[in-house]
Amino acid sequence: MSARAPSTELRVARLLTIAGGVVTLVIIVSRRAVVPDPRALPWSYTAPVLVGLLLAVLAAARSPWAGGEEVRLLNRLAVVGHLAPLLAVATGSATGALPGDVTRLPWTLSTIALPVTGAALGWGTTGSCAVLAVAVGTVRLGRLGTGQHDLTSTANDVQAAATSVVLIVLVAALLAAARDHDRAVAHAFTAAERTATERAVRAAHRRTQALVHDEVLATLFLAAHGAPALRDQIAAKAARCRRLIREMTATPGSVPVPLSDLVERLRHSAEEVGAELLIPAGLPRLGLPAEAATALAGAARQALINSRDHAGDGARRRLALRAGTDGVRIVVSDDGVGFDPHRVGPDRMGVSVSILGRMSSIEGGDADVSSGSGGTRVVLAWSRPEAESVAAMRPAGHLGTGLSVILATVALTQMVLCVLAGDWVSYIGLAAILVGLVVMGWRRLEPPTPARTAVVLLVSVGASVLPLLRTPHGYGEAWYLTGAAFVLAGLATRGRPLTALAGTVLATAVGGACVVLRPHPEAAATLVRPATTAAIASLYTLAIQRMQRSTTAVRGRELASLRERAWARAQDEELRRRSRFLDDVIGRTLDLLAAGAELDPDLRGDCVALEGRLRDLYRGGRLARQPLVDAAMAARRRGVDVVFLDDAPGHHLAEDTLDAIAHWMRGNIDRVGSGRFTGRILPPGRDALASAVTSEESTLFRG
Amino acid sequence: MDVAVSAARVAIVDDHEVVALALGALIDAQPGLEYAGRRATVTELLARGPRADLVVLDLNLRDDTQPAENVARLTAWGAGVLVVTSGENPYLVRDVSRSDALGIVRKSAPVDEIGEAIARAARGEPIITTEWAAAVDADADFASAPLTDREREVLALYASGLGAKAVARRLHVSENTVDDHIRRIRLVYQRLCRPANTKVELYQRGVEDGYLPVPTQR
Repeated sequence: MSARAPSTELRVARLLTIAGGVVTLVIIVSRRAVVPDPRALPWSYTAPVLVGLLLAVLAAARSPWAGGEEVRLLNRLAVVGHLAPLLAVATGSATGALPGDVTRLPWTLSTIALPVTGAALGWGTTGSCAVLAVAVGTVRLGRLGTGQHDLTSTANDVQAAATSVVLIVLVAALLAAARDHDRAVAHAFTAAERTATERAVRAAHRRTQALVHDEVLATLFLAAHGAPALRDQIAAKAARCRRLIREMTATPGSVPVPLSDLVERLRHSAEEVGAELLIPAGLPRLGLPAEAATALAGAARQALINSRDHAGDGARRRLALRAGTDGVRIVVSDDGVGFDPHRVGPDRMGVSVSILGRMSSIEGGDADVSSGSGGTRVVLAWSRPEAESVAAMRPAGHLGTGLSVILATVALTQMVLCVLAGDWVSYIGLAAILVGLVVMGWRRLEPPTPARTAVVLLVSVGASVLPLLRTPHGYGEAWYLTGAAFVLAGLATRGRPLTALAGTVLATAVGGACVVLRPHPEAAATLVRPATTAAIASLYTLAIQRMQRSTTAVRGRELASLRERAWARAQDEELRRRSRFLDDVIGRTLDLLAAGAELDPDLRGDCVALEGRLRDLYRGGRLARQPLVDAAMAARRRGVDVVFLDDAPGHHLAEDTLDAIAHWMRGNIDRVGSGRFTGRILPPGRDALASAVTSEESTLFRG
Repeated sequence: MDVAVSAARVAIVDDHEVVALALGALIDAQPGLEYAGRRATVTELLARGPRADLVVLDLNLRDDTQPAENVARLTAWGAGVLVVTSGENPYLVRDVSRSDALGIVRKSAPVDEIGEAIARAARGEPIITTEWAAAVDADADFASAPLTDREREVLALYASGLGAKAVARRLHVSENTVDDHIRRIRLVYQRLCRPANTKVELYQRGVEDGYLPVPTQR
């Protein structure tokens, strides 16, 4: 059995860990370009900061091969790697241990959304909330020590906290959706396995039933009643039965049969009845499950024989085969006398068992018989069980109140920043952000319509020109650019990641043009932070979408393979069980008959008894159980004509009751020396549950 | 059906040659019966003969035909039909019970019982067996049929495995009375359970069988 692909929850956790590592790496690499800080921390502080941050990168690098527990551990280490230097720097700053000329907390450490996301993966939502609280507190402590009370620092921290809250909610929803998906998949797998097993057992039952009815009962009947001169024919029939019983298990579903073998068998059958064979050149080198090959060949042969026997003289018939990697299709058609296929009832053993039954008894098999004045057309198809559809993961369904938290957080934090900035440009920025959030439409969490998307793009990109209206515009004054990036991030997570990405590029370009027109020392920060926020959200969404598709495909393939294996295993087991049963019950007698043994009264008695026993499996229903089976065998050998009838097949009777009936009936059979015995489970609603009737007396079982 | 004055010719329709081998010998062994031959399908028999007064028909042919349809074609051809069965599928037995077949006999019944059934069928007599009675008695569609209590009793006793004599003894009536009951039960079953293809037919059947009032003009 192939190893099961990682759970969806693990795939999500790995993906988020990798994303965290990539963002951290980007921060490390671009840290000086974003905020040039001439009064940087000494190396004794910088080195631990970098090492701590690198833990997140290492965690990302390791996570594709890590299991669930290890991914959690890696994320916890990354959180510690971020928080420890932050705590050290903040404490150092508060206690005056930092060099006096350090006036800023390194912005790399203030990107607290990273440890918060890591904590969500390492400890869950509660852990991430705790980490958020600690991180915000520590950053503020650090600011206190370095005396940073400017708008830029506040805007940075508020936006970082807002990002963190949004990420906590999104990660929780993603993980919950992933767990839900895992449960749904497990449920689908169990159901698929159970259905495949049940169908396989039924198919095995049909196959055995057809064999017993067509071959075994006829042979036993002939041996029991036929003239001694028929011994050779009886021997040949018995040998054939023996072979067929052996072959029941000789075609395990797991060994593929080359398509060329099937073609050979079809060619032989077509030649047998003089049918034209249409096989395209260049057939794929294909392996079919043995079951499918046997069913296709057998059903095609039966269709050709039916055509020969019933289509009338002069009818032309042909067999056409088409094969691809996804399956095989055979059409047997003639231009002779047709029949009404609708009058072929479900109980028929002819067309229904030989053609329709054969095809329906294999996984992926299908058959269609159509007939009319223009002739008969039998289509036999086998399709390789394809990747089956498994419901996709639906994070939106798990947002719940989280959605309100996200909207409230974003809206409130932006308002706070707007008030803190206190200028009219900020109010325009706030208006743009709020319009963007509202226009996106949050009632139904589907991708916004093109018109709404266009408005969202317009306001979020339009916000990029606002810095032109005010000089100077540092990161703090241009806080709304990050706010507009939140709107673009929302657009991305709402199913429009490519549009959001395009919007990000456009907004950055417009922003860049503004910087050129109005240069500022914090220009890079005003551009990079929003661009990174929106770009990361877009890329996250794209990655999640891709993962959803690949997860669905992987699960579909797994499901198909599981079905196939469960089917093959159950069919194999059931056929073995039934073959063993037939072997135990009639093997010895068939061997004797096949060897041409003399048909003395004892052997004939055995044949009568065995025929009765096999017949009991059909009409006797629940009466075919011990100790009744042995008692009936013994009675039949004594010459008693035993008939069992289960005339309440759909009516539930407890096993204890059935056992009691069997024991009671056995007592009745044992007393019969000759003549007939009829044991019957009565139809529901009668005075008694069962009756036992002999030529002399009848008794009822009332329970 | 007319009773043959000379030896009645009996043909077999069965796709198992071996079964025909055994049954053919059995037919020839009966006085007044002559085994005419075997065909694998009804179509073959009708097309190529031999002519027969009685056809012993396998219930479960492996071609594309329905048992009742086969019975109808053979009776239209002028032959009586006795159905033999090895599968004892009650649905197929019921299908035949609604037809004009003379009776249904198990292939595994004692040889003399099969022989006697064929001989009686060749004389046009209905053959009532446990298989027939059990299939009819257990037919849920027949549960509300307009049968008298005595008729239900006769059917249930037959279905439990008793023969006509034993049923008569049990009910303290003559064997002829039991036969009368059985005839009526057969008739009711054939009428009640024959297929109704349209709502009009269904209505007509309801009227015939007393479920619905006979329409009167006002």
